[in-house]
Amino acid sequence: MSSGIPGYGNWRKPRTNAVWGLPLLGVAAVLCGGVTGMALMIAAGLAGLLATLAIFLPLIGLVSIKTKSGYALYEHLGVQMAWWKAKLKGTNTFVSGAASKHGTGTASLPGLAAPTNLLATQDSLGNTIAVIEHARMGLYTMIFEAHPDGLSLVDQDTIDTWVARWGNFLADLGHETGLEGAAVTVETSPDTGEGLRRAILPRIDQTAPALAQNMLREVVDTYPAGSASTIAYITLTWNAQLRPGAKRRPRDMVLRDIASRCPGLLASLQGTGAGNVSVLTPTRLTHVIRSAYDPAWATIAAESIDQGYDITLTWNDVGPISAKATWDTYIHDGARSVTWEMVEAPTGVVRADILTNLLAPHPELQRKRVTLLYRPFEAGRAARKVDADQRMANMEVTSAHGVVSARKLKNLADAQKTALDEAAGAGLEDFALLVTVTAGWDNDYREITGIIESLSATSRCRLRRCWGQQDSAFALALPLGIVPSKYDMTPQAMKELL
Amino acid sequence: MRTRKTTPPPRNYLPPAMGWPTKGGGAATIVTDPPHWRATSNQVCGLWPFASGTGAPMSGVPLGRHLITAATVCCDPISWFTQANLISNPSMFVLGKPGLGKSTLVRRMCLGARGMGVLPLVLGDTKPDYVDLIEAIGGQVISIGAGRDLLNPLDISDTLQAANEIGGVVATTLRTQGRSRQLHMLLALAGLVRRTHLTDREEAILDRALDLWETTNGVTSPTIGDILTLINAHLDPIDAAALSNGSKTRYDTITEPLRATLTSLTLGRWGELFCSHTTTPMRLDAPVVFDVSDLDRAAQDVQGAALLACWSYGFSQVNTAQSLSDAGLTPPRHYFIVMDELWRILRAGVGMVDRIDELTRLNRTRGVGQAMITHTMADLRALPDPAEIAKARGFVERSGMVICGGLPYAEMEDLTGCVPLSKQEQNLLVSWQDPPAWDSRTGIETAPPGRGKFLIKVGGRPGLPIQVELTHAETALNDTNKRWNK
Repeated sequence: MSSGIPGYGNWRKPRTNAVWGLPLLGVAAVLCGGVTGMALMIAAGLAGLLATLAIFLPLIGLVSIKTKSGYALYEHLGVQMAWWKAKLKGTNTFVSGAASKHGTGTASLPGLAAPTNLLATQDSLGNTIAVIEHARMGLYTMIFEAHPDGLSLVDQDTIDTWVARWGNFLADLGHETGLEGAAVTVETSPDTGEGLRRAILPRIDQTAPALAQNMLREVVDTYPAGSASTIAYITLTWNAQLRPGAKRRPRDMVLRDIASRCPGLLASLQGTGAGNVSVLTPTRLTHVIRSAYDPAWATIAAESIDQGYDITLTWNDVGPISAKATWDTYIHDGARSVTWEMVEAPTGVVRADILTNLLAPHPELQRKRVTLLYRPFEAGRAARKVDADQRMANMEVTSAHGVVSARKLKNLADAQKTALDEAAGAGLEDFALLVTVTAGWDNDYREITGIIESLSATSRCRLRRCWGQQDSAFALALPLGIVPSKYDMTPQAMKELL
Repeated sequence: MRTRKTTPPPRNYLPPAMGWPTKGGGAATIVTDPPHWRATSNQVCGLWPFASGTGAPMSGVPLGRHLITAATVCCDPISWFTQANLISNPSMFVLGKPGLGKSTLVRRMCLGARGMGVLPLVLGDTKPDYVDLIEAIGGQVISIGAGRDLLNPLDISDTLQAANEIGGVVATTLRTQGRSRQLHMLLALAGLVRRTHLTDREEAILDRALDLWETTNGVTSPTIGDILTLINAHLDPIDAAALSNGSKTRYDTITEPLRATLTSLTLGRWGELFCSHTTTPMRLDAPVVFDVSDLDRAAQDVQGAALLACWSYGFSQVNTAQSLSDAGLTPPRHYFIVMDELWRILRAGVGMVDRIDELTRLNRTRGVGQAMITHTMADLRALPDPAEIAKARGFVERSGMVICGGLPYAEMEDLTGCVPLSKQEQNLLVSWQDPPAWDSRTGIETAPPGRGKFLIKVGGRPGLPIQVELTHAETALNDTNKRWNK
């Protein structure tokens, strides 16, 4: 870009091999169906052919028909069946504390976050680092807290530098050995006026003259609410296995490894626009997670902390006392949350401030969390993937007869650009976006849904509610470092076929 | 030896990966990978997560609302230094063209500070802007002028008395500081009258004279006339300082320029202001304002000298108060010192920058906020010597935060050298200095568009644009151009 504001784009859904518009499994089904159909036709005539069609057409349909949200029919069916099973067995509710039938009688976390432990380690600078251990998966997560400065009154070239540095940070993630995933969770909550009240009223000197006291009290009553808080949590998750199939490293070794990387990562986060970055201590992490599951507690805790009390929680105190996932919402400790996932990324070329409206605090949304999930590819794998993409795009263009469609040509150009960027040193990432909104139990969710839809329209992306998996989506959107692809039970080879 | 059988420790319950699959166990129903896209990092960074920023901390006196987010912005140097740790020292510098509400902003800070238990001290009000406010909050108004309250620039009697009460090493420090203040003040006044610096010999003579006075008179402070009398008396210590070897004629020749300067200080427009004992000592337990509006018609050098004397006296009293409270003799107090119209002192004469530097020093800045106010950076440039200009810029560079109102475009380059401003911020400041429109219907001028709008800058971080909003309680007090309304 010679002049003007730089644009970003060129992200594509990972393409699988497709012939005749069907994934490979669909092709296999068609071929099988064809052969079986012919055999049955010979054996049983028209009835046989109809029988074959009756069996194979639905199968092909399940695999190949994709709904508006990009999911195939079999995936929808899978979610629906899992939901029925959960409702039947009652596993969509979570009761903790003294009434629970399991565990140690404390409020441990529900669902995906259940097998986690909170560990603490120290880095070379003496900071205490909180590390979440996902015991079953063998993953370890470290979290940074950042207070971004925002875009207002900042020059465009400063913004460009910040964004480029953020890109460098993402590229560097591909060089971290054992890094399984990263995420950025931007949590906003507007001030309801309580913050201003808490900031001013206790400081009024009772011996001051009436004019001064009246002025301060009038301010508390008439001024707009205090400023909203926007905090970004940058989560990094490492694998205890350095390569797939290797032996899991012992816990101490991983903790030491993570502690040694902490100062370097903090340094590379400077200048990315993240503002003041620090690593989360165990106390702070427990507060963050507890506030997410119990927003009412957050208000009370803030008041106590303002008055100087120290609140320490253990990891067992952090979860909700009770939670229930419904088809369309997640209810936890008197609050109701809805989570959306992005099903259409902004197309074309976008500017770096495309997500501003989605990220900014909204006065009607009590607590909003926007999570960007990243899966960086290792440098070697990235090169192979990018080359494979380019080969496939090339094959599509060269194997077409006659006039090649503009879409295919653009696809090839995009693949080539990606390959060039990757060769020039950029990293390759998979990214996804989740949005969670938490409000009171009986808030009008149609209004909230409307707000989120309009916000997503300004960000040129389309959001879809995570029907049937609100509890897992809620946990994914928290800064806990859960990597969703690790829970996929279909083997890797099978996924390539689909 | 019997070994005790110990039971093995209980096994840690580790839930399965998706949670407890029991009724009420909360296992996740299903986890599907959210739809993802693949791109290189230099493209993915375009979905930049830090596009929305945190607001200002709610620490300090509430000033008004943020122009962009409409949230309340609270700011004052003491709170931002002690509570929020946002600035490196509790001082601020206010810049802005006249008529755009600088004194309204500072008045709000003073009133809010008083509400939070801090005493505002306005060391020099020329318009007067602050007198009504300080009176309304039960403060002391000292009206400096001929025939009204008078201030002795050499007055350190409170300091010496405090030193006697405290005793010890602290007392020695206080006495030394007080003497140094006296000398610098005297040198400043003499330099203004003579329009050039005094020589080293004359400085030594004055120092000796002050020393001699203190040994003979203890706590009472001399006036300039007393010092002149001492020098005229040809006493031995002063003779030694003048290196005149006892010879009266030689002594008279050497001290003649100095005596001439001191004589003109005791006569005429200088004498009526600076050569009497202090009539109203400044209180340390209430807000104070030095009303120098009577000197508005006086010459520039007299105005500057009077302001400087007030500043020096004010700082001396604050230092004394802090020493007393450190020694446990008085309760600890916090002060907010307002130094308005810096440009009047700078334009009074040569060497004023050094004087300001010397006379506005505090032993301990913690708990004392300072605000220095002037119009534009051009005021700091209107000095003859490049070294002085650099020192004057140092006031801005060293202040913890800078609050800018509307400023002309020509200022921006100089200001950006002290306080890094982005292009957008510069454009904002320039837009605030547009003159008001003429409302043809009512026939009066509307308010200028930039009135009450300020940009709070701390270091290199992006600035906070605010709009100062007044409460009912203050609106009655805030009619600055009262004279026009009458």
